[in-house]
Amino acid sequence: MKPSGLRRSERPMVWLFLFPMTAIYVLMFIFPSLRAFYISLFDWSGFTASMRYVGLGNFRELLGDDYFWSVAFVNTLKILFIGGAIIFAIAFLLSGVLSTNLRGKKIFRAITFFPTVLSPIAVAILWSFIYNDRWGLLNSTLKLLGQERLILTWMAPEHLFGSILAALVWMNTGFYCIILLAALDRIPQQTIESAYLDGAGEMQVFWRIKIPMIKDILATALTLWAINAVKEFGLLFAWAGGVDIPAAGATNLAVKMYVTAFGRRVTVYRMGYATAMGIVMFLLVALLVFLISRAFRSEVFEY
Amino acid sequence: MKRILVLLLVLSLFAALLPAALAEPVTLEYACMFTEGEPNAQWLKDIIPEFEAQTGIKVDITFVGRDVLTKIKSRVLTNDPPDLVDQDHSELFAAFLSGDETLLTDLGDFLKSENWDKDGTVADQFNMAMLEMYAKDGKVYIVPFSFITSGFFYNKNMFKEAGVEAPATWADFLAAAETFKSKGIPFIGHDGQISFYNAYYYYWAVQRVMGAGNFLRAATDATGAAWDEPGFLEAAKMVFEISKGGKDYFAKGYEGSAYPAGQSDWAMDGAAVNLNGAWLPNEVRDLVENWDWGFFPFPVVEGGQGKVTDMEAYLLGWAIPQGAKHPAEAMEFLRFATSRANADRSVDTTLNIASNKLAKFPDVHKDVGIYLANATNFHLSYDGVMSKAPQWWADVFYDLDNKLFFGTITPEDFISQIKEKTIEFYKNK
Repeated sequence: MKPSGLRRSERPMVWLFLFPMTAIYVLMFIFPSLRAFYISLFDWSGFTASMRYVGLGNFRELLGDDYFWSVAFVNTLKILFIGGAIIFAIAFLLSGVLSTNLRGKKIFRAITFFPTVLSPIAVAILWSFIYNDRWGLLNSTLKLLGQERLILTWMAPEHLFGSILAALVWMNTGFYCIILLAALDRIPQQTIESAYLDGAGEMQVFWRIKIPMIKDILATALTLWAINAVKEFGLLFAWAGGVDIPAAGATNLAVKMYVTAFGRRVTVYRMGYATAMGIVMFLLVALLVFLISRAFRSEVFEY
Repeated sequence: MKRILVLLLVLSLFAALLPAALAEPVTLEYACMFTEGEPNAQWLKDIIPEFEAQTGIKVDITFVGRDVLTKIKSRVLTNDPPDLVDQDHSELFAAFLSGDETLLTDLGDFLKSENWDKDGTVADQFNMAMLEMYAKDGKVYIVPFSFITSGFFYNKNMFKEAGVEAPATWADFLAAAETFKSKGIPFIGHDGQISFYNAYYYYWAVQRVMGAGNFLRAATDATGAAWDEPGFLEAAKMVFEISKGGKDYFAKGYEGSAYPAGQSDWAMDGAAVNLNGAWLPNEVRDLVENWDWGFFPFPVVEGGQGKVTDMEAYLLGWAIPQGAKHPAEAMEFLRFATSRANADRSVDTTLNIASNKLAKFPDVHKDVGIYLANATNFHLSYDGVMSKAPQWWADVFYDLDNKLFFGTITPEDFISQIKEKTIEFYKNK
């Protein structure tokens, strides 16, 4: 008998059960993905049947596209690394607090998770109210606290990216906090108590006990963040009210790809070129997933 | 035998008539750029039942919203488009007419046919010079329902209280701005988060200094040499002068104002003027009662090539995609919808200016009407740059224009950077 434990006569049944999902996956995911590579080799508006083959022309043009690299790519990296660092720092802090025997823990968990369920469009509108120069919550609060010197035009070009990043952090932290919380909750309490009895401090327990013991889940959370950060779209696109191409501070790879393919009042309509941008996004995600899996490749604790 | 023959004859006649009797009425599929609650959608919902009753043609309208062309893209590709689609003429042209292929139905014969009111041709209802701006190889493919232009909308009461007249020249404009500033009243209300609103200023300044066609010429000049012409710098200086980096005639925080906060604030007496499209009164009409609207075009410049009789024509219109199943019925709908009575109803419902030149003029746009009546030349919005050089517009112009408009770069830096980036942009193609 094979290690799978399946008899030869049972194999057709396995293939039969696997077939529907495999077919759907190939048709709905593998084929479009491969098709994207093909389309990136053409100059094509997306409206006509005729596509002009340009080979690697779109990629050559992309390499020299100053706006793509200096604005869209850089903003994506900032969301990924700066946004990610803030999100995980807050998520660890909150999950640390919420994993204790705090009263009303469930309510706090729900409140923490709440921004995650909101539509990005609603979040964009909400935060643009908060940032309003004259009657927004932020400047009004600063005024109330007598901190006029801190009052800024938060959505001015020089502050726009930072302001959107704050909203992104607010929107995403709850999700990663809940993942980390679930991981921390499954660490046996006696392991932590033993460490304290052996004289370990809070930081030692955190870095040497908790982090190694949730490494597998942390890797999953980081991978999810890497993917979500690169393809982040809704909040940035909605920031300009969805009526215009977002300003530089609200442009990342996904937004740039969308407006290049479909325009937004500005009639760019370059499906082939936008698909080449999509390939760059895919390669970036693949690289990040590879690096994360390498960095976290080690023995997994079983407990 | 005779009886059988008669019976057979009756049966065959019945069989011949049965399909016609059972046939479904033709259903016209219409993909619309408006969303359900918008005034234009309401106008269509009002007139469609009447069209159906009068013609027996059903209309299946879907209010898709501004993404309508994106949404029907795959259907156009598979040669299964809706029978009718609407959008602004620039977007329709760019999507369906700009490449080698022509994806819309030629409306030349339709325009020559009798109009719904039976008092001339369909073409007689329009200013054909406007339609021909969006023609391809001399053929017209898009029929408009709404005419939009851009200019300064102003609060007549505030002007009266400040003792200021609507400015005709740039010098008058600066003087008016200074008067308001001296009284501590913001002169210009603006939503700086919308780049195409910001772009109005530089585009109009170039139109007034150099005349139509020059902005497009510079935008498509791969050598960048056009940007050395002094008119472009002069226009940049005009924009910088009123910006936060110059004399700062805008309401505070305009550079970070998210649409529609700035225009709403302006409508509620927060500022005196707002440079915008003629859709503006419609967007803010619910915010105030008895507001006295006024309009003046972008002021002319002393010694400039642009005249007050040069007018922007931004049109919203219909097109029938190639491959539509019911083009004749779609044309019938256009004939009906562009009739004078229906154009009048569109004015009543939307407060927009109807493209039918015989239709009544909305009261809120009576000042626009004066300039429109005297207009001798029409040009595309943004001088056609947004639709004819869209990627340059998005990747090169917007960012630099925003910086100039918010006063964070000087006019000289704007010109040198736009020249440099234009050369780089075309070199990379």
